[in-house]
Amino acid sequence: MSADSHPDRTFTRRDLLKLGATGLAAATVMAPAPGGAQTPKRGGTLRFRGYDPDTLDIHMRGGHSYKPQIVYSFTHSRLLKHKAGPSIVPGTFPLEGDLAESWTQPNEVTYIFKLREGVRWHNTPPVNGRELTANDVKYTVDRFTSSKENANRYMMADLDNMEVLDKYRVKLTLKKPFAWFLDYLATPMALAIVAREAVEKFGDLKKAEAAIGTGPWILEKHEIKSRIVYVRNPDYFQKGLPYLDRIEAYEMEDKSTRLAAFLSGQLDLGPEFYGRVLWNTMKEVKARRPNLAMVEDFPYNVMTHVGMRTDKAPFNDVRVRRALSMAIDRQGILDATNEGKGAKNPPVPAALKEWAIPWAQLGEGAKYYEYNPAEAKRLLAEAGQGKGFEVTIDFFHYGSQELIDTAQLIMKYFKDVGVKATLNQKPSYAAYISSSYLGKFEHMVYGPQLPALDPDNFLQQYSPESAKNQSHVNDPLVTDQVELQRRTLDVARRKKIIYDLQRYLATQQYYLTIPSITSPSAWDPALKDYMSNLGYDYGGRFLAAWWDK
Amino acid sequence: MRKYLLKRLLVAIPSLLIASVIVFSLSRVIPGDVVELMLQDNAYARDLDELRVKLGLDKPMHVQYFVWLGKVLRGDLGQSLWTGRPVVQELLYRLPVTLEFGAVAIFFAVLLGIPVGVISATRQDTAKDYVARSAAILGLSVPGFWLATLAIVLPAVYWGWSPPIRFTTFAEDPWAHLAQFLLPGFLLGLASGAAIMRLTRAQLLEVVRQDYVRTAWSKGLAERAVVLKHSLRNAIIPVVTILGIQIAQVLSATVVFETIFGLPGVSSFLFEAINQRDYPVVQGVNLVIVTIVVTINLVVDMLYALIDPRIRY
Repeated sequence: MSADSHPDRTFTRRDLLKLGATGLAAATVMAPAPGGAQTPKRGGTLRFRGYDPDTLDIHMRGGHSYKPQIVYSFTHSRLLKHKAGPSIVPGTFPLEGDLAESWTQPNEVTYIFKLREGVRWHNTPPVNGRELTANDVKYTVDRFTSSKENANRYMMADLDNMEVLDKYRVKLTLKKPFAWFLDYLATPMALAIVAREAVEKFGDLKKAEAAIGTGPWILEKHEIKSRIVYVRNPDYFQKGLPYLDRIEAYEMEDKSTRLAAFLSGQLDLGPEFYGRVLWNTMKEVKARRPNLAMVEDFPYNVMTHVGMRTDKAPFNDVRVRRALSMAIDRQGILDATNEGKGAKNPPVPAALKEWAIPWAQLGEGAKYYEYNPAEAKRLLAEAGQGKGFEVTIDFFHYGSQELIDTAQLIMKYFKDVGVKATLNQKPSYAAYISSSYLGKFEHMVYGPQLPALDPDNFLQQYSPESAKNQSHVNDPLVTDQVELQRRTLDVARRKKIIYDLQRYLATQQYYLTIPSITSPSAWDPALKDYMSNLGYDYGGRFLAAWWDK
Repeated sequence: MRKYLLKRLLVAIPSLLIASVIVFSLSRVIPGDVVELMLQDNAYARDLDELRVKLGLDKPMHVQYFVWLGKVLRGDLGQSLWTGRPVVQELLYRLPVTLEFGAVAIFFAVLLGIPVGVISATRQDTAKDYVARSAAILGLSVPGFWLATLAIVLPAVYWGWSPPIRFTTFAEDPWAHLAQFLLPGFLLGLASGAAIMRLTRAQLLEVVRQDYVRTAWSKGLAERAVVLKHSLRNAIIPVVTILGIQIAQVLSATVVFETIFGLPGVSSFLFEAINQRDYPVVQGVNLVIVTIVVTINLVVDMLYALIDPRIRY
């Protein structure tokens, strides 16, 4: 299979508008800023709210954080990447070659990648602009899979062997078919190709000087907890790109500070993640910067849910789980926390448009997501819980008012059907992550999940083998289907499996999914050929962007 | 004086040791495991154990304490568990920012607190006094983070202005460097200024009723001489005492302001380290802050002798 024949989908702007009009897509372009027929101009500085990483070594402890991965999206290349630009619908992730010029798959477990020739490392000591070869890919894969401090090592758990065939070709062999392998290669979370010389000179890749890649920008300055500056890589392998000379990423932890910076024109992208603007600040934003380019109702793949000890009573009774789900007024939560804007989530977040089952196709299970306290009470009575019961809900606020409000509403909804919930608020993120998040709780837990770009990460929550299985689900049918979708390479068949699985999971309600908010993603109208999307590939999305000013 | 200084320094040693035990043990008894935080739900159980051994977290707590203390005595505060950078190096970068910020805040606190306190005392029960006292109550009761948020957001909403988002170092531009501390320093100094104002007023009111002040008035001295030369110097001693306490309070209050104004200081660093269970950073930074506070209080005690010639150690 070559890059050209890969079964991905790209969307035209017409498609995009159609999707918006029919309500299938949450994305609605209000004022898109494609360059169209204009000739892109070189130069200029782009400023956005960045995230200062604790470490720049994505293969070491702390490297699983999105922060260094965003840095690597500027400075490093991967074998594959997600397509970016105005033609891409947010929430979709078509693949294309990055360092790989093409790839083939001779059998279910073997991938052969042909690298581009003439790709040069940043012209910085100790690598000094030498040519990237297949050995660099092998070195990176070996380092990634052997570092025991690498929390993302699970992403290559199915990789059995890697072979350098010649200077520009590598062969990766898996232990068993793994359908998400190419998608994993494309995210900045895994295999950004690193230079052996940098590791050997600096001992690791923690320091800014060691951030030497083949990416479109060079890390010029890392002012700790303040600013990261990238400058254009003049030797980037895609001739003429990037257009922006300089990118400045500012660490801004305080919500008000970054909103003020955006209002005053000191930031070119919306102040929240992915350049989002919160609905409750839209009035001020539109008044101060009325001509922003914007994707309204930008989807968000952070999905929160209520997990339960489904291995214990009363949550081992499906009627109780269904009742609790029907006790929750999901629209009420959106009304209270996000001006009513959001998307209900089936078991796979609605933001992952290609994989979340549309509500109309959810079937019988759809009714369990509908607010119906009378039916909830009836189900509880049928399950012998008519008098109600008491539960604790483990929780950490993540500094988010929306989470706090939602947790309180969930407790209120439970109380309305006779279930008295007490919030067991963890004193810190650390306490939450190392206990409740890993399924160590007494009754229930409420919180967000890893905002992955693939459905597999969310489906792992139903696998008895996985640490993500907060609800202690052990349903042989689900276990089998979760595994099956991982081994099914045919996209259409895999999609059917995942849709069927979601239909079944909807009837079982092992997790009570809460809607994800949607909010606009906005940027300066003079920034052309840019489009927001989910994921940490900020560098990829800026690659072809340019200033029309 | 030398003997007193020596005695105070000797007393400071057990204080620092006790502080080090408290800091060390408190940071470890709060729930949350740094290793699980680092590898989260993706770790293999054996990886967790190996990382614990590598970081020295598998040893009993008292052993870890003495290993750490031994290093501290050799001037090594350890390395951040997350960044791998030496804590001393981080402190050298960040501590000057916080100290400078704190100094600007104290400067504004003194600049506002003492003159307003003097005016309020010397114009007791007049409109000026009432305004000053009301303002002081307001300064004490309005939360600093709220004031700082308003100071950031309102100019941006109404005039499209907000403070520069970039932190400028002294070497790059000395004026821009100082200027970025003025607004947060002023806001942070308000609460301390209010406390200083109230104490200055109260002390001065007491002193101006002393016989020697009455004598000064009867000698026909000008108000300026009576108030500033004869009264204020005696009234200021408790103010100097509270100034020492205010400096400690200002240092602890900088965390919110550093976050809001994007100042890469030590307080926001410490806050993050606590969240991440970065024990060497929490221990090292706290130990340095405790040392600074102990030193400041020692200096304050020394200042008494300079202000009041009657005080001899």
